[in-house]
This record gives sequence, C-alpha cells and structure tokens, in this order.
Amino acid sequence: MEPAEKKRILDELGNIPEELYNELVDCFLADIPKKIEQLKTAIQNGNYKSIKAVSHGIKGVSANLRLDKLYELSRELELAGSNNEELAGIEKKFRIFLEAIDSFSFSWGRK
Amino acid sequence: MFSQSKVLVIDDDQSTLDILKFNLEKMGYACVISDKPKLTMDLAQKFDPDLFILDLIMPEISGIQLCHDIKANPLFKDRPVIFLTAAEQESDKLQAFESGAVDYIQKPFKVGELKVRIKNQLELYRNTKKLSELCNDMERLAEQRAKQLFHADRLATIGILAAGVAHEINNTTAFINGNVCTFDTFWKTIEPCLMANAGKDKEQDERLKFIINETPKLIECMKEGVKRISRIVEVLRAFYRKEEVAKIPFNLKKCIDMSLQMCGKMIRDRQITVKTEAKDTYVIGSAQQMEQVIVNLVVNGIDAMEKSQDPSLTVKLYSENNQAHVEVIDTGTGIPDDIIKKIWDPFFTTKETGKGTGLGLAIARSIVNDHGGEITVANCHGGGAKFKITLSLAK
Repeated sequence: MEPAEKKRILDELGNIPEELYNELVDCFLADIPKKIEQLKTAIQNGNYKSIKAVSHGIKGVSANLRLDKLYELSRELELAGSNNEELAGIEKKFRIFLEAIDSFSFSWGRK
Repeated sequence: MFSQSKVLVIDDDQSTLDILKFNLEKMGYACVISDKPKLTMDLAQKFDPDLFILDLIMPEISGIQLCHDIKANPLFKDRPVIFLTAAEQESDKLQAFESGAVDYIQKPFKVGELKVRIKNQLELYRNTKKLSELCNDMERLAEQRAKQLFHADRLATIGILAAGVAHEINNTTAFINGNVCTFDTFWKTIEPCLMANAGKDKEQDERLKFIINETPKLIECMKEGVKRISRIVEVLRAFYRKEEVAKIPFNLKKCIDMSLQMCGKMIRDRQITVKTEAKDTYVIGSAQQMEQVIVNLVVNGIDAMEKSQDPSLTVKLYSENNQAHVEVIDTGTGIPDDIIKKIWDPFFTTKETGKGTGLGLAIARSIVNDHGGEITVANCHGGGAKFKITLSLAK
C-alpha cells in the first residue's frame, strides 16, 4: 500500500494509529481464507443466503478499512447473492474477487 | 458541566468496534464495545449507556431485534439508537427506523460525519431529558402552589374574619370600659358609706376592710385589662386593614417597638434574646405596612433559630446619608446560597406545608418598593442572616 494512500485512509478514519490499522488489516487477512472457503462452498451448493451473508461480512470490513476495490467486489457478490443471479456469473465474480485478494495480500505483505 | 456521555457499540466486526472506540474516546465519551449481540441487554444494564450504536446484520440476533429489545425496556426506551451498517437496501433502512432508531449511517462511513451525528443525537437526548425533568418539576411546583394558594386564601379569609371579630370586640370593650369607669366614680361614694356601717360585728368589719382595700386594685386591673384588649384589637385591625400607601411621616422606632410587641409571645415562648438599638427616625409612608414588613422579618428570624442553642435577634435602626436603615439580624441557620435569590419569589418557602405561605417576603419587598426603598439580605459571617431595609428619611 502506498504511504500516501495509507495516510489518507488513517486520516479518513479519524487519525487512528497506524499500528491499530495494520492490526485490523492483518486480522482481516488472517480471517479471509475461512471466508473464501465458506463462499466457495456456498457457490457450489447454490446457497444464496450464505453467499449474501458471507460477502456482506467481507464488504463491511473492507468498507471500514477503506479497501475500496475489495469493498466494490464483495458488494457485487452480495448483490448477486440477494438477486439470485446465475451461479456461473457469481463464480466469475468470485474469481475476480480472489485475484483482488491475492494482489492485495501480496502488496500488503510488502507493506 | 455535564457528566461524560456513554456509548455502547455492538457489531460482530472487530474493525468497526476498534475504529469507533478510538474515535469516541477521542471525543471524550466513555465507550463500551462488544462483538456479542446476545450480551447487549446485559451490557446495557451494567454500563447504562446514553446512546446505542448497532450493526444491522449480525449472526444470532439482528440489530433490528436488538433495537426492539432496547425500546421495550423501560430503562432504555428513551435512549437513542443509531444503526451503523453495510446493509444498503431501502427495506433495511425502513425497518431500522421503524424499530425506533433515530439515525442510520451507511458503511463505509465518514468519521467526521459519524462524529457529528452521534454528537447531535446525544445532545438531543440530553435536552429531551432535561425538558422532561423540567416538566416534572413544573408539575410538582404547580401542585405545591395550588396547595399554598388554597392556604393563602384561607388565611385571607381568616384575616377578614379577624377584622370583623376585632370590630365586635372593640364595641364590647368600649362598654365594659365605660362601665368600669362609671363604677370607679360610684366607688368613691360607696366606700365612705361602707365604713359608716362598721363597728357592729368584728368579723364583718374585717371583711369590709378587705373589700375596701382590694376594690380599687380590682378596678385598676379591669381598666388595665380593657386597655390591653383594645391595644391588641387595634394591632389586629391595623395589620389586616388594606390601605393605599399613606404618605405620612412616621417614626420607624415605634414600628419596631410595635412589631416586637406583636411577636412578644413568640419571643418569650422560644426564649429569644432581643437586642434593639434604635433612635427616633422618621420616614414617609404607612406605619402599618412597615410594621407588617418588620413583623415578617422578625418571625422569619425567630423561625430560622428554631434549633439554635442561643437564639438572639438584633434589630438596629440608624440613619446614614439621608437614609434610614433597619437591620434584622438572627443567629439562625443562614440562607443556603442556592436559594438566596429565590426567597423573594412569591410562594417560595422553606417552611413546612401549612406553616409558611411563601408570600411574606414577596409582600415585604413590594411594600418596601412601594415606599421607594429597598430590602436586601446577606448571610452573616458567624451564621445567621441579616435583612436590611433602606428608606429615605422624611425631610
């Protein structure tokens, strides 16, 4: 994450300490594999309720942490879940989401 | 200063809780956070928050259900609830407001806006609470004043009755007085005749001597009694007579003497030491009304010393800078700072119900003002209160 961007985010969140923000992102990333598993299962089983609930959770956290890209993608997944969209389409969205997660954790790992 | 406002935040997502806690505490609020919606009511009982912030979609219990629970609890039903949620459907929003929430903030939230919204709701809550407390106070006051008015009305009736009774007694006293005086002159004729009959029976002579000796004293006693009755009746009538402010020069010293005489029984019963320092001092107005004022101050002073070890009342009258000053100083409890400004308000009283009307000082002030003077109060250093009347001297 670019230092300038991080500064903007910290600022937007009321100047929270950087350590707190790092910790929250670390928690989010530590938690995400479990969520991805849940989403994968839900999509396989066509469980729209679960698709909606899990992506809603991810959406909330990424909104809080100002991870805009992840927020947008999880929001789309949630919407697709609540609109009972075709599973093939949802799976495609899910893959785009996974790529975004990978790329974010990679860049975050380098901090 | 208000006490610190307390906010309870319930969200299953730790990042919301941490960011909020950081910001709320920075704003000076006390903040309790929990990611266990099931514990909301327990936490509320313990923490007694002024405001709730709830997530909407949570596992186990929804925010909507929590809001219903809060609103159903008599302890918390007035506390504002704000939803902070990533749910973005119109129906969610509608449900949230229908459950009793006062605000709905969408994630991703802007911290600046969030702070202002929270602050506004807390302020609104505080003002509403204050308003409802004031409303209760006013109701209590109205009830109290209705009681006092009733009592004052009864007192006024007694006053009118007393004036009527005083008039009747005055008439009766007048003919007793006339007859006693007549008998006094008769006695001067009777006495020598009685003596002329003496010398027949020794025992009867003794009794005659006794009667001749005692009768003049009896007559004097009766005259004194009648005089006393007339004086009391006159005071009563003067006290209750309603008059325009007279513009006659009168002696304030006499007013003070008369007032202390009227309170004589109280002073004796409560064994109060009275010190007076007064010289003849003339002002213009109504002596009767000024007496009423002084009586009021004296009675208040005596009442304030109900529990004093060594009750003592000082009444001073002196002139200075073309003005007459009357001071009534007691050694009682003094007047607490928080009520010293209220004592002139009509119906304000610290005496128990039925004892004081709360009108005395209000009337006293209006009388003194009508006389172009002023009346003030201050606490004395060694305890007790000092009331001071200042009036222009008669030229």
